[in-house]
Amino acid sequence: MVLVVRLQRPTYFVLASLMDGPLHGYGILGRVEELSGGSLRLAVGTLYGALDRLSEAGFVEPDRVEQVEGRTRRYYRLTEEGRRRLGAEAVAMAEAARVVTDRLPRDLALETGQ
Amino acid sequence: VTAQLERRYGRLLGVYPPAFRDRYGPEMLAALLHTADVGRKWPSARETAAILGGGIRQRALQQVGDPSARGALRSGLLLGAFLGLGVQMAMCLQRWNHDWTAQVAPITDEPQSQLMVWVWATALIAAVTQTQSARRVAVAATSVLAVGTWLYTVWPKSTLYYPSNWAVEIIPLATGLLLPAALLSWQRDDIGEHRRSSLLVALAGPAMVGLAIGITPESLTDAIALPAYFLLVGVAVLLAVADPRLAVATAVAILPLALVQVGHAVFPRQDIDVGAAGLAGFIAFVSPFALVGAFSWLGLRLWSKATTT
Repeated sequence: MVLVVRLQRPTYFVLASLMDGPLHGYGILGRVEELSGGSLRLAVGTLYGALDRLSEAGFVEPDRVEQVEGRTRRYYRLTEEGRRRLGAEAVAMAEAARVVTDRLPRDLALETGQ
Repeated sequence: VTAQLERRYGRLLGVYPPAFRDRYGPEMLAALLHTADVGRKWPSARETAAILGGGIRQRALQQVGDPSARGALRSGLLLGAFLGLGVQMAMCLQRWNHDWTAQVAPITDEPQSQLMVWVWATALIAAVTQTQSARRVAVAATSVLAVGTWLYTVWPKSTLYYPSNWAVEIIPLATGLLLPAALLSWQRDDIGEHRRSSLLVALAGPAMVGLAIGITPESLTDAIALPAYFLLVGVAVLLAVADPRLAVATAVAILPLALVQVGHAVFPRQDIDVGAAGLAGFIAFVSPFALVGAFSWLGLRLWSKATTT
């Protein structure tokens, strides 16, 4: 009856962006783009929806607040629970990938008649 | 960065509920202006779409307070509401099919069931609206439409007059009055309110769907809709087994149907004799499922978006 909810790709990368230390909203956007090889450009509305859900789930928490040029910059930090969830997700994806990659050489071998 | 752009983004952020805006507004504005192209005066389409979608979603989320019950009720109600609209539209379509084949006795209630689609839509707007004044307007409109529709069906000189059993006809009226009552006392999700609001949400869900489908009970007694009803129950049971949240949704969608069926069992009616044959009959049989399927799919998509962290 328990439904296993996988992390969506944006959420996964938002969590991953915080692994090396706290970042503010704009910093997260840049880091996500960098980590995804430029394939994931989050809208600000999408990012803050994700941060709200992740805060509620206890995966992320607010860090320090800075005022830069009169604008608020709040940093977000990955919690221990968030780090565990992200790690479990990465392991699950690696296992799923292995189902395919482990079979690839044999399939390729059959295909080439070796 | 232009002052115009800042003002426009600021106004756009107003679609978020106040609590969310107080918490994230300033940083969002900073990030929006930081990522904007030089010289831009209007919000980008991409950011606008994300803010509008996020704002509507946040407002819908705030309707249910208790975080543990929130996911289940929210997704269940959403799916149930979509099922309800699907069933209502299916019934309109089925009626239209009957009309087309001229095999049904007088069709007096088609405008009525179309009207109920609007009642349902008003109720949904009331349910997702956060501001108390907007909700009051929607609730008032729902009440007037529900009572007005009912009065029209029982007033012998009206074009919608339809001789029927008071016990069956009273169900849509009762749900029509229960819905506004539930919506009006449906509080914002302040701490301590969630128990009461959860209960009222649970009441409002069946009421909404009751409004949507209870008004056309005769279609449940005809040769086509009866097997459809039992198939629907079968599908509902399968869905409910798959996930507890779907149990909420199916309960919401099925309860009014069951009430109407009980009403018919207790007070049988002899004036309905409906049947369609051939291709028309096939279309009439299949179309409700296609619509229910389409709306379930849509509801499920929204549901998975709402529950995936």
